[in-house]
Amino acid sequence: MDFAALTQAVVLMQDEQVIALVQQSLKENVPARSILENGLIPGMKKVGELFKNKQYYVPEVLLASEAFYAGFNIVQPLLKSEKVSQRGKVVIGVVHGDIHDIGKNIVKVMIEATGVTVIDLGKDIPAEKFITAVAEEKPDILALSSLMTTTMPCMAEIIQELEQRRLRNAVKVIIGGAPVTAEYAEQIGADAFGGDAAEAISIINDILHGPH
Amino acid sequence: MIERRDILTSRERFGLLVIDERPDRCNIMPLVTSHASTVANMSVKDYYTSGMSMARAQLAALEAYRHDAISLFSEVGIIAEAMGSVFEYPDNDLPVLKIPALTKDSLSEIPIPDPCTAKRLPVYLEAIDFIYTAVGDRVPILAYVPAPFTTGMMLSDPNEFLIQTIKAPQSIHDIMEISLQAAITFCYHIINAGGLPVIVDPLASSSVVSPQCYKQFALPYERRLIDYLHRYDLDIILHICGETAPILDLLPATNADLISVDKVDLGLVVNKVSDRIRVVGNYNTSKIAFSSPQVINDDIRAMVAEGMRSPKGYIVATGCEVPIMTPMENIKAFITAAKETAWYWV
Repeated sequence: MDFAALTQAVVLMQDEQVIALVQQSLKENVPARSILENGLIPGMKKVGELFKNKQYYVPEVLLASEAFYAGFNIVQPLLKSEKVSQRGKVVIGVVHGDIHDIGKNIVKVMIEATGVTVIDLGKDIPAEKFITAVAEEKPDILALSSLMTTTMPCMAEIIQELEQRRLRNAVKVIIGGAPVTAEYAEQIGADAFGGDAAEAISIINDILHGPH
Repeated sequence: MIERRDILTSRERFGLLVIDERPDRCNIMPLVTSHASTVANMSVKDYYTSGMSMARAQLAALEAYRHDAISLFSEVGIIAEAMGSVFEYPDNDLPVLKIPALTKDSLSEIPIPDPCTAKRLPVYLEAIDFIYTAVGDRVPILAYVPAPFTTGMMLSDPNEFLIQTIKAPQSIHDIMEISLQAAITFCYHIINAGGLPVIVDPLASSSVVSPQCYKQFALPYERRLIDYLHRYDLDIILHICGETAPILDLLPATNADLISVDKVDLGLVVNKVSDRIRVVGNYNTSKIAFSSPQVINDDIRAMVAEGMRSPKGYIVATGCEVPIMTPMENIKAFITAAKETAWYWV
């Protein structure tokens, strides 16, 4: 199996090529997990680097994500029958009043590309829904996004609510979004701040697996 | 020491700057937009749905802060809404896009809106009219007009729009043409009412799209809009909030007279383009909202020193809108620090 070609197809945003290569690999009896870990995930990692280095911008990342998901959606159902090591769980969403979800979607695909389970609540999500998700899903990390200074206080509200329900110690809260700063994260009692997608991923990795 | 006194009016100061003469001091222009509603004790919704309220809020803010320009703006969807995108109006928050026009209508069904009647466009025109009556030619009345790229994205599903910039470029150009016509029509009415259009294109910044994409889809339409406004002999600010370092070299080609920047090192902007275009910027808006007045005071002094190195002149401003809940002392700290330091006449 030529994993490099699959990786390259993700990087070059070629969704049809990705589908063809994934199907061909499955025909050749390559395990789904191997396709994911050796072909698709390295592709998305490379996309993350290109984004960080300002060689790729949002449209390129969106198209590459489409290519990644085109392959991911084929292999994912096949993974469930395999033994999966639990790599951690993240609940993610954009806070109430805010419908800007492109940044959140980019962080989401990057987390999925590390093999971590992501529960995506979506955009414009009331505080209550985040609390319920933390109580029911018991994630390791709650990732909150806000793209507007007017919606940033919702993140503080969610953290206070977690404290009141005695759920705060059960989960690490990380926040991000264009107007958010490290100082604001500290001020509202979040555990960490991700300045961009790459930083968010590295923080999530540190929390789940300890700093490298 | 005798306190320095302003010699020119805000409008005279701006007028000298744009003919490459040095005014008494820099114009000081934190982007006080929807925040003005809190100064006048009204709901944000009231501010962006009534021209009289918008005017009253802006005049109250001018009285409180004594800054050098009125900035009429609520959010970048205003033209897209007049063209058919559906927005929700929360009481104490800015309008939120719910249904983009192009997810329900085809491009051929999208109208060029009449600014006198379509949705909230008349709110701006009425606000300009009231404010002009009150301040006349003393203070520039800036009305922020979304550029075609930003309007185009507010007409579309944003994911889809960005993907089409790569997959179907012609469809983006088609959206740009109609968005440009809508912007031109709106600008014409703004000028008639006594306002100065400022072109705002945050969604074309390098926080979102590549320099190549900016050059292909945003810049040509910014330039056509600015060239249209130059026929009226107006001096035009192009405001791009978000990151702009990768596109700095392209900005003079927009023909804008002043470039207003946000997330970019001001020193870099001064070094790279300030010999060709006047610079406006760029205090961090999270800092103005969340820092102490003392920190703001120190920051502004350093920023003014950097910005005033611009050979073609400088306006002291925030990088983007002052957040609604910013404490008034913070804005006063910004203005006081700038008024003490940003002098050209010694």
